[in-house]
Formats: sequence, structure tokens, C-alpha cells
Amino acid sequence: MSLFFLFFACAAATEEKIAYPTKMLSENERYELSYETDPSPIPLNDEFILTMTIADQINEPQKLEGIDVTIDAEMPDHGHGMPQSPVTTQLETGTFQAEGMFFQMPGYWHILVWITEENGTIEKTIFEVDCCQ
Amino acid sequence: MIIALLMGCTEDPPPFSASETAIIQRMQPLDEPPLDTTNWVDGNEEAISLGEILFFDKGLSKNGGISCATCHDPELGWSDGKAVSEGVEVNDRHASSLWGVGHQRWFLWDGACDTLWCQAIGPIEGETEMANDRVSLARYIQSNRLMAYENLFGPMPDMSQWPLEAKPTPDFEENPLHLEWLSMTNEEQNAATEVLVNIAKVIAAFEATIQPPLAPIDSFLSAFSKDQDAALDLLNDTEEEGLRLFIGDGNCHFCHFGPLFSNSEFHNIGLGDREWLNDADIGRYEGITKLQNAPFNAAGIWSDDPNGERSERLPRLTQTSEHLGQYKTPTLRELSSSAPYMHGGHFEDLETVIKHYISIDESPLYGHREEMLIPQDWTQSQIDSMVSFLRLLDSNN
Repeated sequence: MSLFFLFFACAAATEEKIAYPTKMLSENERYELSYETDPSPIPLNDEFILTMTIADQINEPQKLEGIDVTIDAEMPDHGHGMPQSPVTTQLETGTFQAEGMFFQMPGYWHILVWITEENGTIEKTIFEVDCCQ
Repeated sequence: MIIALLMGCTEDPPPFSASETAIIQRMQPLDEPPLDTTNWVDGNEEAISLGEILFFDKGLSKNGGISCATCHDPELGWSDGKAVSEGVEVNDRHASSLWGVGHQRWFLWDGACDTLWCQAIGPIEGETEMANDRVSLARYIQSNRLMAYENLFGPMPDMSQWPLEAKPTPDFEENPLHLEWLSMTNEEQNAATEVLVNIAKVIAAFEATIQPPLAPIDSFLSAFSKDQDAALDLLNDTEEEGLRLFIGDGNCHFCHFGPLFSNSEFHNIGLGDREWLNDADIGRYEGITKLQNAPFNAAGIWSDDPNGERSERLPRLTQTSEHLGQYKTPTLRELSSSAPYMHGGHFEDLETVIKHYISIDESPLYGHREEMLIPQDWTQSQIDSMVSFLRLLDSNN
């Protein structure tokens, strides 16, 4: 019992921000996605640019030529998203940039990515983010 | 195992965790606001002086009885002590306090303006506020403030061919003032509008100087950056409990952060109706439409920096159902003199405000409430502690 309290006291004093991965597979593992932000780390209550790089995982790299990507974000525990709508554009094959990202509150966020293939198939990916210290 | 744990924890833990420390450190410093690049007279001493005179000048209103200070009285926290403000008629919302207004990015409770001078224009011609028109205003300035005005903006326009009074009211085309407006040439209309804009810009330059004074919280924050224990010695037990609730279970810091304790964005906090309020008020949802159509927004022809930073967010604002019933997060500084609180003056004192947040028992008129607001089982002592903490943000404490 005392061990538990000892551990809890130390853990509380050294609590750190959670570093969630910035690279992951899409829900059906068809793509590997990774992102960077400018500025980095993500600023609180200010605009930032998010660049998403998408790599093929299904040995059909030609499909990257025809995909469309939409990026948004939400706070699942709060029931709302960002105060504005970012605009996603393709920089080159497999690289997309969302301008106008904006985290108006600190806390737990989801960055949402929808990849729409030419045949209409939609592949979703959710990145977790702990904003912002 | 025990030894390893002890070795990792040989010193007393700091009073606040890393995340709590980050939240507290975010509360400072209380700097001067940045200059508004859409207003070329912002920061100009001459403009600030003229703006201060005009802020208190009832001659800017149609009936000569209303000034900006009628609803933004410095003795009442730059508000008016009323649930909803009263110009020539009763308005729909509470008069916002102007403390720290130069730091804001959106203005009015629904953010219908993205510049402070845009906000200042509305009341001058607003039918329920000062009810003036821009031609009468120009004539008043020519008769009463000519030298100060011309020192800043050059010669007043020739008004000899203008009607006595006129303004555009496109939503009320039969308005005699609108018909008079249509009788003016484009050049005359632009000249009259320019005077209105210039007057609003000097008033805004003055308003941007309304900076909250340092409060006890600032002494705490200054000490906190050096020594957390020493900083806590500046607070009594009740104030410390209030601080811990503010950054902890109260969830207050999610919206009320930074030196002004506001993120300057919009939230639905689940406020219900009141008999004195307009039940058609849908908040930020309509504010976005007004802002994008506003002739005086940051990207418009009257802006001095139409392609600048302030205008960049405008095209990214898209109305969604999330915006229904949202209102701007107010600053928590200098609250003691600006009651009642909320966009509709819903609550008469801070204790009642806190009881709203811990009970969350009202149904919002529009939209859905911020879901992190959940009922809290707080004692009266905890409520008192939160009030004590909020008083630390007040220079009158």
C-alpha cells in the first residue's frame, strides 16, 4: 500500500506531456502516414501548417497519384473541432499540406485524415495529439 | 525495488506537476497589446488623445445623450452594470468590459468584427445604441473637433452639397436616411464613410490602451517563475485551493488561459434563456456571416492592411452547427466591477457563475454545450476558494 502511494507521489510530481506517434498506418493498413507541423511543436491558440506524407503499403504506389486528402481535427472529449476549416492541398505525389490548422484549447486532440481513392474508397486515419506545453 | 523508488524520489516533489506548471506559466506576461496594422493611427499619441475625448463625447450620438462610455463606464469595469446594455433603446446583449480589448482578435460577443475600429463603428450608427448617421457625424466633427481631426487626417471634405443627414441602411430601403444616402454621389458617400472610419480608428486607438492593471496574481506569477514554494507563500490556503481547482477539476484553464485568461475564441457553455434576452440570438454562427459581409472587416477597403495577418483567418471561417450558441470567452481580469456576467448578464455575482459551471443544469437555446462541462460535486468551501482565486486577478483586491 505504502509503495503505491510512494510511486503515485513521484509520478504526479514528474508528470510529462504524452508524446503520441506522428507516424502510423491508416485504419485498414493501406497507407503509412506521417506528419510534421510548422511551427513545431504545435502552438496553442495560433495557426499552424501541417504537412502529411503518405506512403503506399499495398504495393500499388500508382494509387498515390489519384488520391484526394482531407485533414481536420477535433477534441473528442469536448465534442467540437477547430474554430475554422483548414484547406488541404497537394504539394507533390503523396505529400499534402493543411493550412489554417488551429488548436484553440489545450488538451487531447485528434488529427483526422481522410484519403479518398479514385474509386471512391475512403481510408481514415486518426492521430492522437496532446496539445500544448 | 523500494530503494530504486526512493532514489528516484529523494527530494520533495515540487508543488505542481509539469503540466500544471505549464498552465500557470502560460498566465504571464501581461504585455502591451500588439499594434493593429489595419489601423494606421493605432499607437499614435495624438490619435489616442482625440479618441479618448470622443469616447466620452455624447455629441457622437443622435440625441446628444449617449457616448461610448455610457455602456463602457470606467467606473463599472468599462461595462455598465446592467444585464443588457442601453443606448437610445435596450440592446440584446451585455456590454463587454474593455479591459485588455487591444489583445483580442475578435470583437463583440459573436466576433462579428475582426478589428477594434470595426467594433467602434457599429454603435455610432446602431439604431438602438447611438443612432447617429455618418453625415451628421461628419458635420459634428467639423463643428466641434475640426483642428484635432484635420491634424491627423487632413482637410475635412466639402459637405456643402451633402444632405443634412444620411446613412446606408440596405436592410431598410424606405428609411429616409437611406434615401438621402442614395442621393449622394459615390465620392460623397466615400468621403462621409471615411470620416466615420477615421473617428472609429481614433476611438479604437484609445480603447487599445485600456490595459488591465497588475493584480495580486501577477506577483504570484512573477515569484512562481523563480520558486514555486516561495510563490505559494503569497497565497492563503483558500486562494491556493482556488488555483488548484482552476487548473484542475474546474477545467477553467481550457478556455481561460494566457495573461488575459481568455483564448479569445468561442464556446457554448450551456446558458439558457432569460426573459430580457432576444431568443433569436444564435451567437457565433451569425457572427461569422456578419463578419464576412462586414464592409469594415480587416480585409475590406477601409482596412490599412487588407492582406495582413488579421485578414488571413477570414476565408477559413465556415459556419457549422458547432457555432450555434457560441459566445466569446471573456477575460477574467478585473471582474469585480463589471458584473453582471456572461453575454446576456445571466449571473449577478461570481459565486452564481461558478454554481452554473458546477451544476450545468440549464439547457442551451441553440447548439450543444461544450462536453467537458460536467456537473461537479463541489462544497461551498470549494466555491468560495474559486471566488478567492478569481479575486487575485483583480487589482482592487
